[in-house]
Amino acid sequence: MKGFYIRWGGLILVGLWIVAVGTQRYNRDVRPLTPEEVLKNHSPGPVRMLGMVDAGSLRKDTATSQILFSITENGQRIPVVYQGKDTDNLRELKTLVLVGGWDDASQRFVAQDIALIPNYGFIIAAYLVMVPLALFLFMMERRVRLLYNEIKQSKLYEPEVREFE
Amino acid sequence: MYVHVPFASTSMAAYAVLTVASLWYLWKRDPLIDNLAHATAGVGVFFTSGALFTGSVWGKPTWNTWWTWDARLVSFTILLLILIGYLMLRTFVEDKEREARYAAILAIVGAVDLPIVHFSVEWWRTLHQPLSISQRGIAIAGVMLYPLIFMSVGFYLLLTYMVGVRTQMLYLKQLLEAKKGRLLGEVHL
Repeated sequence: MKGFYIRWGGLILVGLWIVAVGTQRYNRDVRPLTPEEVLKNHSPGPVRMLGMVDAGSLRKDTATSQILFSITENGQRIPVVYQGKDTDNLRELKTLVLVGGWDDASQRFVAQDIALIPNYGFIIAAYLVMVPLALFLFMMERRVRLLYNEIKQSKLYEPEVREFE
Repeated sequence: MYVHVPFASTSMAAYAVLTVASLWYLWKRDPLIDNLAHATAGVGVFFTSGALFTGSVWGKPTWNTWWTWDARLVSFTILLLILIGYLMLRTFVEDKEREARYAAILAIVGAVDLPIVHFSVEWWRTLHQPLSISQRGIAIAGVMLYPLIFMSVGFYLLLTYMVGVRTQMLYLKQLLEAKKGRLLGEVHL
């Protein structure tokens, strides 16, 4: 049974390592920043910023053909200039994720793209099904080992004694 | 999607294995094949429940509901109920040979649900999306298709391994019971 528990311990360590690497990648590449974090760090980008388009702020600059608006999240407002492709997703009062960076010269967040709002809570919930699945497999394997041991101890395979030899 | 689709696919494959094993048992009356069918049903319940749970988790942000009376969802839930019924039947019957025979018949009758599950999105107007891989072609972008294939292969290997372990477990239990003299005449050593 010792080898069995060591193997499962190794599997748990591998699982924890995958979770740690996934969390690290999420925090580094995927997690959207708040306008407050962008202003604080002056992130030149490319970063993702989550917020809601302010009511009445959306307008198009006819001279430069750029779209200007401001984003609000938790009471913090940040001016944005959007330079990406035209999209129907850009509407007032809509919460969205902007991909771009802070521009110190213009004092605006320059966005090149609009990304989907991630549903990571649901994704993690779906992957958590693997936990009871692993537990189910562990219980079955453990039962097999215990049954083997029990059969061995009961000497099921002991050869019969021939009395007349 | 990379969890739900492999879960659904493998649970249907598990039921297909259960059906084939049940037919084989009725033909050959081999207790080992009955063990395989019994083990597949046990693991199949887990995979079918997983498919329903992950589908529900996917449905909430996409359809804004955890559950809807959609043909695919209902037929899949019926598949789960058949599997649960199969396992319950196996605990109710005293005589082992009769238990295996009745369970095999139930599994074969229940196999009617398999094509209904598969084609429900084609036969009826459903909220669930139609078949992504069909004679019409593949309606998944390559960037999503390859991870999906990778996950599906992993799930099929996991299903095979789990069925193997459970079959072994059921066999050893019978062997031990035979040793204790309770089922001596019914186990082929």
